[in-house]
Amino acid sequence: MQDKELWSWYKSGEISGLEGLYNAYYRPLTNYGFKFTEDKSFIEESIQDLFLKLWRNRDSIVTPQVVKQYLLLSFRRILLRKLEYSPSRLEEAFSGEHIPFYLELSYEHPLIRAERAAELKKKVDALMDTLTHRQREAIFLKYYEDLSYEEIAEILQINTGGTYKLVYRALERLREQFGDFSLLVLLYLLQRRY
Amino acid sequence: MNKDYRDYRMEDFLADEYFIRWVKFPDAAADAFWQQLAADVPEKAPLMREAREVVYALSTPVLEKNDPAREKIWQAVLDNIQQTPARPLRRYRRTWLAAASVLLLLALGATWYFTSTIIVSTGYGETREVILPDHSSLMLNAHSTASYARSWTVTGRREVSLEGEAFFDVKHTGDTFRVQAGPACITVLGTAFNVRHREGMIAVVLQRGRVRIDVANGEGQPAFLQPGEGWSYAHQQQPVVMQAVDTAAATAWTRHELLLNATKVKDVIRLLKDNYGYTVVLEDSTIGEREIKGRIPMQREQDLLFVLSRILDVDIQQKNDTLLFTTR
Repeated sequence: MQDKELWSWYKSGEISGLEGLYNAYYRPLTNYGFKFTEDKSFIEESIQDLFLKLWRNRDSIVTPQVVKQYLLLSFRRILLRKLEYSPSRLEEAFSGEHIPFYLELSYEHPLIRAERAAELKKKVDALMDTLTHRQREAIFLKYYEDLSYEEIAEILQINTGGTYKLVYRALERLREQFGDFSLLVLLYLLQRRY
Repeated sequence: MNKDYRDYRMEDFLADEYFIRWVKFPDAAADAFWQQLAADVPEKAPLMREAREVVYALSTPVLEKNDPAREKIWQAVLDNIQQTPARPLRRYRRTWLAAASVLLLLALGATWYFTSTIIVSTGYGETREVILPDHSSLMLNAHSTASYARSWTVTGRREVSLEGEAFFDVKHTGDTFRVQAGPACITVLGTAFNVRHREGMIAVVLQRGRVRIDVANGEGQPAFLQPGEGWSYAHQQQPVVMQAVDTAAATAWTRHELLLNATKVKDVIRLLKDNYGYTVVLEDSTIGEREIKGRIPMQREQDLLFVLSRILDVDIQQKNDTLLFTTR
């Protein structure tokens, strides 16, 4: 089912439209949330609040250009408020660097011995550590969630040019650290997905 | 696009929105554009190839933590919404004329209803789950077709014809359930099993329950399978029953993965043809005899191609429906 269709359904007061959106975005939202906090209860509450708010305000909410980006943005706002990264601090710290964002890559594979996997994990964690929280979040939104620079900019509350630079610097950083990116490519081969 | 790709470094390709979209969601126009670029600026071609792999790498392996309860949270949302009042049904006034035309439509509809067939098909690289009228489920693999009578709900006759591959999870209702795959007829009560019917070859793997298989015009007795057993038949040959079949491997496609247990490359190539419609040309035919072991993600066909190119250390070039494997 298309986002737009579900959205108009939901807007017309059909609960099944909201349920469709919930089912489509439950996983992306929880996955995003876990990058900010390990605490499940914050994520569960935020998702609940988000969908409740969507339903209660369905007459006043303007249909967004990209449903996914709108949901990620609203969810992030609710979650960060719960985690008490207050808006005022957000504005003052333009870089937003005080909001932690942890991107862990998956590295399990049946063909790789446990000790080799552990060694690999150490290396990749070090690789990810060389990035800032913001860079990690931008990389996640860009490559994993397929958002455009404009859409990411709105979420991170910076301009589009700044977002592009953020991603670019992160990539530059990774290349400086690991030359040819071979480690990341290796990880791609090793990951397991369901 | 007025960019000068001659000066492009790795980061530039990686940050290029159009490049990322092409890698993740390729279409003909983007294919043409980037292939042209690789031809025009050949010194950048290796860099583009590597950038493509890095995009894959950055896009996919993000670790997901243990899942909070999806159902529970939705229930909490619903409870909070507190039963929105159901909308009253609209009533239409009907004239006699309308009633008469409805009768006519009903008669026509009934004829159509009892003679027509519902057909579900998948294209190359696509899988689809279908819930049948008796709530049994049918997972259809790529490039496959299943069909059943539209009147099933009324007649209760549980019969499905299959071309291609499907995994059936059949509800136990007391009535028999039949799958017709070419000359083979598989009869079950309530079970889960995989059927592959491609190019005259039929293979059944039973995961749960018990099935009976008859071959039309075939000599000999019907076959009965126990869980974990497999059965295969090729035109005008004796059917073969196999014990201790790897049911996880046979049904891995329903979980969007491929389980290889010392599987020959040529068997993987046959799968590329069956499920994705590719003809594979091997520069070095001994590649086909090599064996691969492991679990390969199959969310997208690029996954499989990418992993194959890495494991076998070959370059895979695509020209329309043909894949050319060349040794690096």
